[in-house]
Amino acid sequence: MNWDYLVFFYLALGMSLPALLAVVSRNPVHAVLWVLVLILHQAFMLYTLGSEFLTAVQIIVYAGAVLVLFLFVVYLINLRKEERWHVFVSKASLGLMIFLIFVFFFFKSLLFLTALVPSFKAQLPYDVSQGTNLMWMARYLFTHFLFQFEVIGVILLVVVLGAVFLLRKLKEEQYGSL
Amino acid sequence: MVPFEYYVFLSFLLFIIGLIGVLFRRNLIILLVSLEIMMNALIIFFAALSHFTHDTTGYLIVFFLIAMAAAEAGVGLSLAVLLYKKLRKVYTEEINCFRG
Amino acid sequence: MASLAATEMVSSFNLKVFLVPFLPLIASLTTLIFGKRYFPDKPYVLPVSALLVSFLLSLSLLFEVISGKIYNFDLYSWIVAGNFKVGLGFLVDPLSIMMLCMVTSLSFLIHVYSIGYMKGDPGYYRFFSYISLFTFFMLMLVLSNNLVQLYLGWEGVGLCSYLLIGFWYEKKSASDAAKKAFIVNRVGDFGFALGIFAVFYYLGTLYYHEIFPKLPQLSQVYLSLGGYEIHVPFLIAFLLFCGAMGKSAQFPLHTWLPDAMEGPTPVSALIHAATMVTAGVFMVSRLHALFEMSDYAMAMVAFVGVFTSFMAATIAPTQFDIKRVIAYSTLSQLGYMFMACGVGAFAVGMFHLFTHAYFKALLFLGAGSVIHALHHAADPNDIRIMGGLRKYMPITFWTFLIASLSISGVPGLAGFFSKDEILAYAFFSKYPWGKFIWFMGVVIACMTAFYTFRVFFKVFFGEFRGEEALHGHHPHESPKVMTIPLIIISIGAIFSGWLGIPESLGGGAHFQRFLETVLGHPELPHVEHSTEYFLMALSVLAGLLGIFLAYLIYVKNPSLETVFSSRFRFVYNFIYRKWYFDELYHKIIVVPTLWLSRTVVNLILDTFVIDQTVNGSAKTVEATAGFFRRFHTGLINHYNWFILLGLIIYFLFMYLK
Repeated sequence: MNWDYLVFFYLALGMSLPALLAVVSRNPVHAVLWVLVLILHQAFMLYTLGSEFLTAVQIIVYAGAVLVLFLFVVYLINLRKEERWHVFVSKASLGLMIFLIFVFFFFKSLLFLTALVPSFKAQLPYDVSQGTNLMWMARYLFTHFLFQFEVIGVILLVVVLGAVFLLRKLKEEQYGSL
Repeated sequence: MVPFEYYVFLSFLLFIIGLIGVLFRRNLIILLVSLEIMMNALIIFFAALSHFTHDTTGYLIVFFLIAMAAAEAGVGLSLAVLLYKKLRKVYTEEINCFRG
Repeated sequence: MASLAATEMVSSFNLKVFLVPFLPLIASLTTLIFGKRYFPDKPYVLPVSALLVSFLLSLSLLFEVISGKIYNFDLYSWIVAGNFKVGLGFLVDPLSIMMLCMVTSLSFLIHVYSIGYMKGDPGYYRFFSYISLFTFFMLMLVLSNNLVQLYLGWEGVGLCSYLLIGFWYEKKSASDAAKKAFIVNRVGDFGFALGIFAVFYYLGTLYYHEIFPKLPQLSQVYLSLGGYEIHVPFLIAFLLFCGAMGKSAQFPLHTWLPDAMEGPTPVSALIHAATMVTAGVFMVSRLHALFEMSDYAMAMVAFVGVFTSFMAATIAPTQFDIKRVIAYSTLSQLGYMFMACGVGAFAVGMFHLFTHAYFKALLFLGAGSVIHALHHAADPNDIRIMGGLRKYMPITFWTFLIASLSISGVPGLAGFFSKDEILAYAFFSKYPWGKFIWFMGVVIACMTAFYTFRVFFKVFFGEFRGEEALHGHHPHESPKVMTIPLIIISIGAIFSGWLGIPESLGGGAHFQRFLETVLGHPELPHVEHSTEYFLMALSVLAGLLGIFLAYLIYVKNPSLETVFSSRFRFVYNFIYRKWYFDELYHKIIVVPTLWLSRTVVNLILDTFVIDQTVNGSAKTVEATAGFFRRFHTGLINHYNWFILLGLIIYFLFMYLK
């Protein structure tokens, strides 16, 4: 029995099923919780893909911060259950066609990419025997990707400020055109 | 090790699922949740890429993706809260002030 | 100093020459920009002082030119386009220095005169700015060393003429007159421009000092046009003369000058007597070599001049507006100058220009003095309400008398010398039309004396007829700031002619000799002094006859006034209505142009073409926008679909590459 394949299929299932259920659920709280399941399986898959650091990051950031934020907002907004599905595109056939075309193209691109992978020459190689994944990531993060790292920091700062600014206490007439 | 194509297919599947959610749900919160699912699909893809090419670039992209997803969730949720505070609605079909 | 010392040509920048036109320009611009706010009471300070300095500089330059120096330098290269090179340059030679001294002296004196005349006018500062600007352009015209700068000055004085004729722009007749002046001028300038193009086409250069050596090349060149062989020098001369006809108000472009009297009197004195209208004569003299190459051109100049002169001399005796009479007198005298040029005596023509500037300006300023005294009346220009003013305005009376005697050719005064020279040269000229020109000149001299003294007697003699018009006030002499220039100019009106006393009378003809270094001496087949004296006596007699007739009719026996108008009513009407030229032009030119613009352009082009285009494009935009507006549903889910669509299009591009 090839344990690799087994683990993979369990994790794949553990990701696809919650995703599907999240997308079709009526209750937003349920959706968020299904996404939590998705995240946990995904974190473990990241571990199998060789990066224990990312596993930790995923759980701490995603599961621990983003989803908590989602839940907070859900409670803040005080949502009720939804009634039913709603068909948005009045011409469902057109929508379906666009969707299928997109799927087709997307798939083709992915196949193209995967064909390139075997001949790919690594730009920033890592060697597990020389150091942990964390060490290699840190080494390259603070040299090659320093600028992007700083930019991400600024982006997060902007988000914080943006959130504070958007949700400051406004008098009624200051809401603007909204 | 599982061949690379399997991971690609998984990522593809998750992406499509998320896309369906984004296109067809009218509850703002669930819309944002579907968006998160799409981003996770990308995370899987890049991690697999990095693993199979022995290149750290993919992992670093994943790192940035997670940060970006957090940022985007933050902004999106603030906007959703703002909309709700003003309009008392979270269903997109009722938010028609953007029409025109 | 009858002969000049060896000519020395200076080709480098000279500050004095540069300052002469540019000081008035600076004064003009400063007064225009700052005049209203900073010195509303004394805006004349800068222009007057600038003109004074310019005049003194011109005098010093005069001495230099007399001693043989000639300046010819470019200030900077203005247009350089392939072979075509034109610069802003100055040429100071006998011809231009003479014009320079005349223009600056008269401009200065008229500036001073205007201090008193225009006092109290709300546009006081504007006036000084404009006449200084005009002086600048006139000086640029005179000082230019190439045809394009001449054209620059030409157009500039036309512009200033427009501004100054229409100075009281709220008065409809004034603004109409200004437009008329500018438009008629423009017609002439069109021909002038074509002439400049022709000069460049055939000679390849527009600088005077390069054109003159090259002119003989054209003597046998012909242009075939529609089956006719046109002699090129004649063609160019004709085109350039169009400009002269417009600027100097010769037939057929003369109609603007009488109406230009709507402007203030100092304007009439400066522009329409002494300077701008003489620019045409100046140009013809400057390019005399070109005109002399074609007999047809000379004939054209002579006959246009004599016709205009005669026509104006017939109209003048019928007019009642004092300024209009003097305006027609100007037309007539300009015709005299062209007559002189047309028989080859360019230096003499310029001599008459010089003396005419002084006595004509004096006539105008004297008229201005009278008008100023009567300014309470409804129409202060009308001579019918004047009379007996010699009691009230003695200085004006005497200076006006001097000017009238001068223009009538009474011996001893300036006009006599210059007029006589013209008539003598015409009689003895080698051209076949010389004798005819001489004959007409004598007739016109008689008429000139007649109408000038008609005005003189009506204004200054007899009883004052303007009692009710002035509401019981009596006219009084003008302030010193106006009478002193009158006196100074009257000195010029007398003695300016003495500079050119001909040899037959014992003088050295200094003026003519001075100019002939530039303008050449016409060939005279044979000259006998006895004939000359006889001709001189004849012309003096003609002048005295005119004065006597005027005295008869207007002083001795006033009832004779109406004899002509009642007995020969048809002729009288024809003359009084200025030979019906205004009506003719109105019918031929104005009415069709207005019709063309109203129906064709306004209706067809404007309404149909342009409006439809504008509205049509607006409608197209509206339709397109309407189509795309339906995509803005406001629903976020729809937008997501559009994003997807965009992504698909991107994929399509990638795959189709």
